[in-house]
Amino acid sequence: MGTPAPLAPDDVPARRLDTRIRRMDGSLVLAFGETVVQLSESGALLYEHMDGRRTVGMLAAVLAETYELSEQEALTDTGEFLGYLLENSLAEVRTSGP
Amino acid sequence: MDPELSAWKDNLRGKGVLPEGMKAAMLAGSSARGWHDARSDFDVYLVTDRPWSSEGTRSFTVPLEPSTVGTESFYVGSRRWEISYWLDTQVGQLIEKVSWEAFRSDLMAGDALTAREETFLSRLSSAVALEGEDWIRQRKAELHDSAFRSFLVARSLGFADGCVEDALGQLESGSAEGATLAARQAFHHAIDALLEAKGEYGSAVQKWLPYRVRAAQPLHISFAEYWAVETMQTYDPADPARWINEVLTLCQDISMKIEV
Repeated sequence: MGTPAPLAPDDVPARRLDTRIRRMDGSLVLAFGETVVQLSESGALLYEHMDGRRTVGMLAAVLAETYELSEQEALTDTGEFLGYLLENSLAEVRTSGP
Repeated sequence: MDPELSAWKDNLRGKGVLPEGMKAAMLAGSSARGWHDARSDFDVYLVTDRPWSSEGTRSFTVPLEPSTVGTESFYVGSRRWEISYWLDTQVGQLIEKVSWEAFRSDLMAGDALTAREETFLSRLSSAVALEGEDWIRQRKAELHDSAFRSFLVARSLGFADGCVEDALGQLESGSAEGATLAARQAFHHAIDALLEAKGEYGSAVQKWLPYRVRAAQPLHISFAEYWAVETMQTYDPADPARWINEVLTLCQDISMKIEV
């Protein structure tokens, strides 16, 4: 599997609809095929807000507000998290058009 | 006792179906919830120490010891009454079947309990006491502390996942009709899970779903939102995929809110 291209702030990430999701002992656990991932608290926050309408920039703003991060820190963290989901087929992205 | 409940008991006594020394008598099902209509049966569970037997007794089998549950039925006017005689020891066995130990062994709800057993436990949770309030309160508490809720939630979420897969597969193959039906089923299972998480059971009978949503008042979806999906208010036959994707996304949103 190739590494996905870095996301732009206007890209719109979405949860894959065939991902199985469970909340166990307060944590979100995602499963797709044989991949099973337990999300951190901040990862769960981002994942819950990935509704296929919010852009990467909007998600970063949610993270920044919740954890009092700078815009750049939040964008970096959000990009890393989304990159991880994309690499593991747990998300898909709709690139913003011109 | 509430005069209405007293009248229920008088009817049972008049029919000669109340055993001596019973531990509990309870209204169950729609009549216990106040949801019954003019055609509904009245269901009553009686709990005893010894098996009940009379000329009119029939029985059904359960994977318990002993393996039969006696039943009697009769009419009062045009209303059918169905009486089931469960033994106290059988109820104990049922609650043991949904222990946390059993849940952690990955046993599925459908394997842990038969449909009749599940119905009994589901109805016990909302039963109205006619006699034996202490017994009923104690058993309700045991049920609350058991893994029954988690068994049902896990099952409903699993069913929802299966229907989501079906919907996506149907969409990919170009069958919007099949995908629409699968998405509706996924939604029903997700709502069931949400309600079961709040202790609102009874997924076997579809007509009660709106009643259950109103009763449980789940935080994560209002009745109006539920009903809009149930009645497909935003479904556009010219673009069914949009509605299907919205519903499947909602199923995921619900899954994220429910602690298994």
